[in-house]
Amino acid sequence: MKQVYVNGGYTTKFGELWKRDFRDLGVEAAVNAVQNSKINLQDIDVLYVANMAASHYTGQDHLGALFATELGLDCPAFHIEAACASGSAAIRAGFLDLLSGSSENALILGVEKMTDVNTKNATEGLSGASDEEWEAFYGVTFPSLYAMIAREHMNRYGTSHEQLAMCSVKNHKHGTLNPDAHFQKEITVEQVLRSPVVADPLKLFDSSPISDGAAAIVMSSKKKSEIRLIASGHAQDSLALHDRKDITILEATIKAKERAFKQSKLKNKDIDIMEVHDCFSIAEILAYEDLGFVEKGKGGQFVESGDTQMDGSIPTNLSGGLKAAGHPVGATGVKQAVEIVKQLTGKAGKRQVQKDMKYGLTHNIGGSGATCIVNIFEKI
Amino acid sequence: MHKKSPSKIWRKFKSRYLLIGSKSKKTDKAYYPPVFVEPENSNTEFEAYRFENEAKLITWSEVNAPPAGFEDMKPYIVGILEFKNGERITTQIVDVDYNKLQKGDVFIPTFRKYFEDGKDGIIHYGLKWTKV
Repeated sequence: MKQVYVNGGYTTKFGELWKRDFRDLGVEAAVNAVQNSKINLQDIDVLYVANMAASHYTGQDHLGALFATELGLDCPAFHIEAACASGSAAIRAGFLDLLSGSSENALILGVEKMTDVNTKNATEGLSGASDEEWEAFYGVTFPSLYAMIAREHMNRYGTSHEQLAMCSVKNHKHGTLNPDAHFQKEITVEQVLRSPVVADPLKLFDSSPISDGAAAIVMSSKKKSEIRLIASGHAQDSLALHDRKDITILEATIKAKERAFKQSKLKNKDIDIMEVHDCFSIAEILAYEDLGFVEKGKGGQFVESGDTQMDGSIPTNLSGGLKAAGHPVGATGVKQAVEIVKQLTGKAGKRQVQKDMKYGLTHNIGGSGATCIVNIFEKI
Repeated sequence: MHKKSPSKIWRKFKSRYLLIGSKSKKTDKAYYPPVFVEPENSNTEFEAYRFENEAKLITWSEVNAPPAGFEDMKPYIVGILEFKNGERITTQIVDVDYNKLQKGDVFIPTFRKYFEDGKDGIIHYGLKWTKV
């Protein structure tokens, strides 16, 4: 069976990048990822561009052609969209392409430029990841969808505001060690609790920011590196939150993880490090539970225990997560992969986890849980 | 703004204004919002079914950072309500004391303005829900 190696990766600075535009962010990530992979641009024989809403934010569609043009490529080029999970969906598409033998070197580029519109228009654009007719029509926003999940989780399991805040505090702490992070400043639980309410009970500091940025990786079926992508689990659930059997469970996460673990023949105890989807603090707590690291309802206690800190049993979101590293939507899943590759190869700088690591996992959610992709990387 | 197209709104009048869902001819299960394919068995044959004017509150939030078109309502309450047969809807909740909301509270629909297409444009209405 063919193998898929990750040969190089790169992440631009994330943040409110007023002087940068959609194209140059994407090109910076792509060119540097190819250079890091020690192959030539012309060796790329397929390009996948992950992006959620460029047409809303920048007026640009036809993204495969756009970046093929900018990079001087004439190979097949595709735009992959799965809301906030677009990045991991593009990695999965490249993974399957390489496994099929159709291509040998895939360039995966995730990019989003969100600050060319004002906040209310950015919020409206993100609402497109929900059910436009039966959720967004009524003025429901993404923070309010996750807020409704949080309220039920708090009611049913006793998850506290403080436990939610601890996710943000941890991720900001990690973000201070990532020079490319949107925020590089520590925050306290008290600051989170005192921050303005965005959608009750979630506050501003429970929420990932609106960011610009790009990330890219090069994957190959021929050129060997010390990192392999060994599994990609993907599952869908209902687009609308109200259609879920239990709104405190993201079934797509459970199924995507089961599929990835079945492919890789791994178990939770084998995972050394992970990047999980913390678009809101409650999302990180759900991730711990639905990925199976703790039983349902115990995610808050898990964060409180310190197990997910840099020196914990399962270091999580060393990049700063979506909360501190930023969330340029289409780039996020690719950035997660770049972070795991850096960690597994010992190239994560000040935020390098100091233990022997073999397996790293990325968990990327689209919408309020309608899409989930879990990718697993192995250090050979 | 695609959401302000009149035809986009009136196509959904029956479902949005009269709570018309779809009832499976195969299993008799009723769905709201209406579905095209029954998830459990791929059945595609349905008849119209009117849901009752009463639903229970499951969860809720108050929106302080609204999207474009909803700025004037800020802050407003959104919630998920459940009909007797377990089907759920997402909607706005009005005329209530936010701090006194409780899971299980019973709500009924009321006809209200949702948004308008600028100062000279069409005003779009729909159902919001209020406490019994």
